[in-house]
Parts: sequence; structure tokens; C-alpha cells
Amino acid sequence: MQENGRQRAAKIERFYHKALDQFIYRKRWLSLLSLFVGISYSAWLLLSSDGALHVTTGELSQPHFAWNKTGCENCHLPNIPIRTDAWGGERIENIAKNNNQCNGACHAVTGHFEANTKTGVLESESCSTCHREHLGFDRSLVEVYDVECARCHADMASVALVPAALNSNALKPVSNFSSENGHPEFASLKIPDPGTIRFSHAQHMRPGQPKSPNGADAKKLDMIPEKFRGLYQYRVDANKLIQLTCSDCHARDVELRGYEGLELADSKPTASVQTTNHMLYKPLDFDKHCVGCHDLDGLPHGLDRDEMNQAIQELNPLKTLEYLKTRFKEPELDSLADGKMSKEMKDEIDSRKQRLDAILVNGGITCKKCHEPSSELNSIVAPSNLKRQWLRDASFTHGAHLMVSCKDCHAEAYKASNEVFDSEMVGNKKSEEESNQVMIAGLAKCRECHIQDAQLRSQKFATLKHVATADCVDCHRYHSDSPRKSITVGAAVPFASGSMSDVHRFLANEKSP
Amino acid sequence: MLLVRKLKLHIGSIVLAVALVVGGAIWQAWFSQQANRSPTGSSVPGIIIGSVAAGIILFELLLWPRKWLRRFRLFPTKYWMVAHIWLGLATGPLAYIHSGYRLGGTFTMILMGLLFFILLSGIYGWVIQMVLPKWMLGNLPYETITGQIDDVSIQAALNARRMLTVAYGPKPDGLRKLPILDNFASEMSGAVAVKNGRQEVKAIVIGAVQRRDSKTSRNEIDAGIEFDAADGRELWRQYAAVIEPFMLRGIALSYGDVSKTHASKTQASQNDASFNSPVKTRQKMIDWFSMLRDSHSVTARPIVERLEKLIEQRLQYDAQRRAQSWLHGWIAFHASVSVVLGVLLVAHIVLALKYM
Repeated sequence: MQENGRQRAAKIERFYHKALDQFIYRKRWLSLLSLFVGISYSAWLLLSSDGALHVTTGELSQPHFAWNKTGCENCHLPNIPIRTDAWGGERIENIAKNNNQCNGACHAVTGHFEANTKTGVLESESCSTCHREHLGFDRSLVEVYDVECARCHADMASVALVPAALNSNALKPVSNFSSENGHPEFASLKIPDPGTIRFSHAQHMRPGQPKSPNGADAKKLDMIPEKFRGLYQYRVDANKLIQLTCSDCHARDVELRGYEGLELADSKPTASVQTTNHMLYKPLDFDKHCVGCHDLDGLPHGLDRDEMNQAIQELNPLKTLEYLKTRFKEPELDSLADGKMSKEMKDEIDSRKQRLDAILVNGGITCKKCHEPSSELNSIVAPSNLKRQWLRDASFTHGAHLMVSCKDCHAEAYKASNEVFDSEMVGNKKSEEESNQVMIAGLAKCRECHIQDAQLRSQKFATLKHVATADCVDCHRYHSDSPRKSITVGAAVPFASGSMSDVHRFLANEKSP
Repeated sequence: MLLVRKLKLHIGSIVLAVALVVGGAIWQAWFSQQANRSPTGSSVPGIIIGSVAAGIILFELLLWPRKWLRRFRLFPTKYWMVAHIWLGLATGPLAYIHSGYRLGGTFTMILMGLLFFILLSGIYGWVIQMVLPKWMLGNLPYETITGQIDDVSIQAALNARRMLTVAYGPKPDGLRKLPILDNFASEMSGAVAVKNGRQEVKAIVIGAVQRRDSKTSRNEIDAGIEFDAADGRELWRQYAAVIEPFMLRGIALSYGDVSKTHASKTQASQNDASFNSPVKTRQKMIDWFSMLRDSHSVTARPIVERLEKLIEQRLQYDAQRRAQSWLHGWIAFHASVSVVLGVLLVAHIVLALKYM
């Protein structure tokens, strides 16, 4: 018998579709479980302090790390966008509110050339635009992306208040460091050395430091006073000539951090030199670096006017007589008049004469060997004006460049020169030129190692000895418009009184009236 | 393929989804270039694209309550499904564009992860629902309603018992005990035309065969055949030991003389036995029944063939069950993860507006 539709239908339970299918059953229970999980997790996110760790887009940087869990409101104002590119975040009032979160109790932020910037430009700058948070504990907030600087510096005409000022180097367009026209040459290096010390690096880097190459006046170790030989015993070449190196005179200072280095300039912190690690070189010290060869015949270096006068007075004939009276007895003193003095007395008198000559005669010449006479009445020699910080608009630390040879960046100091440097010839033009020459390589040299493009940098890493980034913040800082000030050392030796003393006249090679 | 054939139905949603994604990407890129900042979710395009994505997710979730509101005759299901598929696929790229192509923190990463798994499971479901039904139509001719497989199997066993009883008399003593199926027998009494007495048998239906051709939809045994009684005992023995345990495996049945708990254990042990059944695959079944046929007289062949068909039917039911789990199993995952995403999306909106 053939099965009909009714028979077949009867095999299936009539209301089977009302029974819960296992798939529906699973779906319902899993969905209920999911609903519970979702609500629980949301509540935890919104109500628990630990929830902030899940909500945050990244760990806060080291200075703000304490707020990682519970300090969101310290920066994020409720319902006010913190990013300037967020919806509503570009409004000036919102930017001001957000900036006030930083600039107040925690940070004392200085401006950025406010006087020379068009109205509204700086007002639309938010702290968070440059200082990007949530990029991890080790991320420095000072590491500002170049694009943030280039926003204004690529087209200064749009932001600078005085378009005429665009001719100055500081306002030239800067887009990046690597391309040829992306960054102007270092303006600081175009200014001649303001130092007044007459010094030839070429001469001092020659073996034996002769005035001319292979000169007969080359110094050997045994020609310098015995007490200084220890300093140079390892600097002797095969001919026993002293071969100086950079570190014989230029000693690295301690590494300065933050604003420490700026105290040297006795000025408030400037944008130009703010840096986290700042290594300068110690000022040159005559008694350490020069005295080995340039002995002043017992005359101390750096005497001030009182000390100098006192020395002269101590050695003049009247004082000498008084001194002899304390030293010798009456019969011996009588021999002074007839000239038949004892040898001991004669030696004492000669010694005092020589020391007086050292000041009055040789002193003038010796000082002038390196120093310019001062044009000021109260000074003996002109201020040395030796710079410690050559780049005015950028911070440079030798600490980061210790792996590079001095010669790489200061090749001029090693230049073989046939020039005869005669310090006694005042007005020698060639010597003057060398003394005034800034022996620091320029932009092109920096670009050899500092490469902006990461891909190119990694390619060059295979061939170059050293490669480094070329970000704006590697050298520059933002928060200050303080006047640029060069850091110098070696101030003028002041006189206590305003009159020109005899000593000064001697040093100036002037005759007494 | 199916998509090509129904392109007219899909094209509107495809165009809308592509336009949203491409338009969103271009807008976000343009805005970030103008602002000189990397793209972000809090920018104007970021928020709008995110809102669109959230709106789509809400629309996707509405597919569920829509089932409860069928009586309101909302748009036909096919339009809902097409929009569900294509707009749903667009949410992944839209969310990524909204986020500024970043995964962000743990919470947003979880959101993106959930969305990824939802999309992945949805794509799996879409593909499997296009492929499997077609395969089942061609390869599972005995396909029945999945939830009724156990019932149909029991009825098939009842039919088989009746067939053997009619042909060879009741099951001889001393053979393996069979489970009690009397309750099921009463239910199917109206469906099977079995008359008492061997001479009155006209035909026996032995399963819910659903093939449409008339040749196989009938399972008849000519009443005039004289069955060899010698075959009867052996066939009953094989039926009780191999065929019925395999047909009824996985079904909790009572054996009458044991407690319910013990019955379950018995059944479980039977299941184990069926796991090692000589007919557990189609090839083994063919070989086994071939031997069974050869070891009996010619008159037993129609009976053996019908028993073979019952086993094949059961094998197809197993395959159907597996196919059904592939077809519908993903929905539980897809729906439940969507619920989590929906809830967390609300939390995301609240937090994002607060700490934008």
C-alpha cells in the first residue's frame, strides 16, 4: 500500500515546532549570559577605578603616570574634547579650558614669541596638540612631532606679525631638516668668534707646537718645567716632540640636566638651550692648560688690580730697602751705599728686580701674547668672551656625540697650516683670522648622520658609522621667547677704581707721562 | 551562483555599504590632512562614521525583535537579511575608519575583537547557508525535520519489527532484548496499514522517506511471497543485535525491567556498542548487508533490502544532524556576541563623549 500524505504527516509530532529546538535553546541562554557579561563589564568600566585602565588608549607617560588609574579628570574635562581636531575641540574657549588644566598649579608655561605672532595663532594651540599623552611610560612628552613645528614654521608669513622680519634667518621657512631648503644654515656660526684670545689651533696641533711647520722652536718634553712634564709624558711622539690632543685643553664638564646649564649664563631659561641632557666643556684654565709651556716667570695669572699693585709695591726699591733692613744686620746694610754688598744681599736684590721686571716689563708682553688690551679704564685686558654655547637657537650636547671623533665636526682645528703664527706681531691678519674662525662644521655635516626619513636612516645604517634622527626637538625647544643670549665665560678683570694704574699702562705698552 | 542570481535583490545594499565605507575613508583622510593630524574617532568625520556604524549595529540587532513583530508585516525578511548582510559587513571597515585605523586601548580592542568575531561568524553562516542546503538536497534524500529524527527513527524501528513479525513471526526467545516501543506503536497506528494476520498484509511502510519519485516512496512487500522460516531467527538475531541498536542509538528508551537510571545506563552502553557497529559507515553497511543477503535465501532479500534502507536512512539522519549543527550552531555564537557588543557599544558612547 502506498503511503499517503496524511500517513506521512502523522509520523511527525503535530506541535513539534512549539518545542524548543536545541539551537534556539542555546541561543537564548548564551544571549542572556552575554547580556549579563556585557552589563557587568560596562558597570565595571564606568564605576571601578580599575576600569580606567581598560578605557585608556594607552599608558600615561612617566610624569603623569600616577594618574593612570584615577586621574582622568585632571586632564579630561567632562564633555569637552581635549584634541583640537575633535568635534568642538577647535573652539578657543575649549582650548583655553584644557590648557588651564596644565598651565596653572602644575606647569608654568611660557609663551612663544607672542609679541611677534598674529592674534589667534597661539590661542588656538593646545598643550595636547604637541604633547601627546597615552603613548606609553617611556614616551617623552617633549618628543614633539616635526609636523607640529612645521605647521607654522613652514609658512611664517601666515603667523608672524611683522612680515618684514621674514628676512631674518630665524623666520626663514623651515619644513624639515633633511631636504636642501628645508632648514636654513646655522646663523650662529656665521657670526665671527667674539673671543679676544689670540690662539692658533693649527700651531698647537703641530708636533712640538712650532710657530711654523717643522719650525726649530718645536718643544720637546725636556724643554718644559719639570713639574709639568708628567702632564705631557704620554703626548710625546717619536721625535720626543709634544703632540697635543683636544682633551689636553677641552675637558668635558659634568652632564647638566634641565635648566642647570642655563645658570651659567646667569639668565632665565631660554627656549634655545632647554634640554634634558646638556653637556658642555669646562672653561679653559690657564693654570691647567697653558702654564706648562707659557710660564709667566712666577707671576700669577689673572691678577686683579689690587694684587698687581701690591706686588709692584712689594718689589719697589723703597719696599726692598725696608725688606733688606729686616733681613740683614746694620754693618751689612752699610755696604749698600758703597756697592760692596755681600753676595747673598746682591742675589736677593737681583731676585726682586727680576720679579719686578716680570711684571713691569715682560708682564705687558706676556699678557698681550694672548690677550687684547682692554679699552676700558678699569680693565687690564679685554674680556676673553670665550663661548661655551655656540648655537644660539638650538641646544647641542656633546654628551650625545661622544662616539664621534672631534675631528669630524671640528676639522678646521686640524687643518695643516703653513701660516707662521707670531703672537707678538700685533695686527697679524692671518692670525687674527684664525683666532676669529668658528671651527664648527655646519648643517651639511649634521645631515650626514642626522637623517629624517626613517627608511633612509635604516638603509644608511648599514653603510654609515653613526646615524641619528633629525627631529626638530632634537635641537630646539618651544616654550620661551626670551632674548637669545650667548653663554660666555671669562669676564673682564675689573679694577676697583676708575683710574688707569701704572700697571695698566705697562700692560697697554704705554709710557708713563 | 546564488548571489549572482539574486543580484537585483542585493545590489542596493551592496552599493550603500560600499558608498558608506569608501565615502567614510575619503572623508576621514581628507579631514585629517586638513587638520594635519592623524585620523581619530573624535573628529567630525570620526564621530559621524562611528555613529553610522553604531546605527547599523543597532539595525542588525533589530533583526531579533523583528521576529516578535512579524504580525505587523514589516518589510519582507529577504530585504532585512540582505541589508543585514551587507550593512553588517560594512560595520567592520566603518568602525576601523572611525577609530582612525587604530585599535586603541583594551576596551576598544575588545569592541573591535567582538565585531571581528561577529563578522567572521556571520560570513561563515552566510556561506554555509548558501552551500549546505544545496548539498543536503542532493545527498540526503531521507532528510526529515531535525527535531523529529528520534521519533521517525523509533517509528522506523517499529515498522521494521512489524515487518519481521509479519514475515517470520514474533521475535524468538533467547535473543537480545529490545526496548519497549508500545507507546510509539499506538501513536502510529493510524499511519501504518497493518492488518492482523500474515495473510492479510498488503503493504508495510517502513520509514518517512521523502523522495518524490513514486518508485521509492512505496515500500511494499508482496503478500504472496512465502518466507523461509529458517531465515527468520537469524534475521531477528541480526536485527536485535545490530540493526535496531544502530537505528535507535542516542534515544533514551526503557527496557521494562530496570529503573530509569539503569535504563539510561543500558542505553548508554548500547550507544557504545553502536559506536562500534558494523554498519556505522555507508561502506561498512553495504558490505555487511551484502554478507547478510548472501547468507539467507532469496525470499529474504526484500526484507534485507528494506532493513538496509532503514540503516541508510539512519546514516543520513546522522549526516543531517551534523549539517544542521553547522547550519544553525553559529547563530548562538553570532547572536550572543552581538548582544555583548550592543551593550558595550552603549558604554563606549558614554565614555567617549565624556573623555573625548
